[in-house]
Amino acid sequence: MMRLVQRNWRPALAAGLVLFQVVMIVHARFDPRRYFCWAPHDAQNEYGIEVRVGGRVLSREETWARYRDPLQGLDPRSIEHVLLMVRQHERTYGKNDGALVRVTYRTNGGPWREWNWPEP
Amino acid sequence: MELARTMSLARHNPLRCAGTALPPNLLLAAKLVFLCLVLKGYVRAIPEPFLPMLSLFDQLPRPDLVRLGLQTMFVTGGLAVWFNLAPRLGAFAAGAALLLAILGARTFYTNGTFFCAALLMLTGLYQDRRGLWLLRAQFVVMYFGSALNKLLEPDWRDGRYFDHWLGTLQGSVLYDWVDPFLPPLFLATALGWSVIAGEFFLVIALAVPRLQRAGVWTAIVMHTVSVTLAQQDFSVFFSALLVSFLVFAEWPLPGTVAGYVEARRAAEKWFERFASRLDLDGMIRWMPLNVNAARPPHPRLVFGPRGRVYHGLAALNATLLLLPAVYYPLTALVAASHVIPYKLWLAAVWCLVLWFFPATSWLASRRSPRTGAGNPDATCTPQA
Repeated sequence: MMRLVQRNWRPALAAGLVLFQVVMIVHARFDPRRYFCWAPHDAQNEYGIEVRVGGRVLSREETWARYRDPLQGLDPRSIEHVLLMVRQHERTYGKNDGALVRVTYRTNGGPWREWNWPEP
Repeated sequence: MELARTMSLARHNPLRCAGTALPPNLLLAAKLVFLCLVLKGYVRAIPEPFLPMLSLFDQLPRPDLVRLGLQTMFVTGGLAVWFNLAPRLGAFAAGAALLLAILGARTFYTNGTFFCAALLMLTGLYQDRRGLWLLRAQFVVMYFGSALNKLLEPDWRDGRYFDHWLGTLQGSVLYDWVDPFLPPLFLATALGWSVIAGEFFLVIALAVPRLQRAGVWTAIVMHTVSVTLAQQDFSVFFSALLVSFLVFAEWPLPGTVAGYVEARRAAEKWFERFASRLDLDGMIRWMPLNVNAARPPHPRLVFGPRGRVYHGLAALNATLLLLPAVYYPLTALVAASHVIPYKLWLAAVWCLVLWFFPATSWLASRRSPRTGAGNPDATCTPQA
């Protein structure tokens, strides 16, 4: 048994890495985040982020420092990637700031939409 | 003693790829992927943990030290690959460093970065022939995921994606020039479906050994068209993908390829000397050619593995493509889109693709007045 493991751990681990991606491709059908599932450039999302902390709107530099993402931008991944960064930041690092965040975005030139934090 | 030391040092020359635990083509692919990553600034780009995918990274006390650790792991691993020190371990370490950086910082995730991480890790996990099979499966899974995700996007099917991206966001000159001559959204819809169909074709072609060569060239042309239309090379993805197609190459054993040149031709002798100097793995044995004076000889004959015979431009290319030293400057060029004016870079990439495209060699052979219509083997006899 030990010999079998010793002889096959490399291919087993490699197969695991490839299979993980297959699982993520299936998972992407039920999860809008779409990580590790080969969904590059599936959508073009134009977005803008407005952050208010203590009643003051954060500048471009402050927004970059907060999310390491630009105030306005174009993201070729799912828009959930941007929303998730904001959501995760406000739930963890920035949870005591009481920030009000508004993300406006549109996908592939469709209608503009708005997403707010805190989420209703 | 001195000779032994020199030979030992020579084994660690980055331009050598034979004689390690990895097949030469796989080792070369890993070296070139690392080169692409370095040229694209990935050493500095590896971030400290921030908004991680795994919350474990938030528990680590010194994010700056985590970043330094990942950078060290990436660079050390890459150098171990480059200098043939411990190529499997090195490739795995470099790939794992990238994957850990992604898991530690959501902002670092891109498909190109993950592709390089997966390829390097799979290289590190290579074992016998099964390893190569799994590396090829990586491409099949990637194109399957990509094709399926696009197929299930309504905007990809009805053309809205391409119309907005190329027409509005990119302002693609080519798209804007052709689109007005066609019905609304026709071009965008055709582009969307051709990408989906092309990627599904690649899934099949790259999975079936007989179709892999066609698959690789289809992919190279598709991605080159895509960087032409998009006017960007998608960071490291384009260059790393192109060099990683080496995992599909049939790489011969050192010394099993015979190259024949006609001694009277100065250019051919010069080419032999040039290729010999770069051929650190000793892939090609050069020999003189017996010329049948009644018919003009074919310049440069290369007898490849499995009895394949190349001549003319195909022989030149077959020789160049067996020399790892040739790949380094070409890879650096393909990865240099951020330092060269884009149109110039694009022209250079297209020249490279067309130069090495199999049909170019075929056309050059047919058009060359020196080749005649007959079988080139009949015009000259290799002299062992």
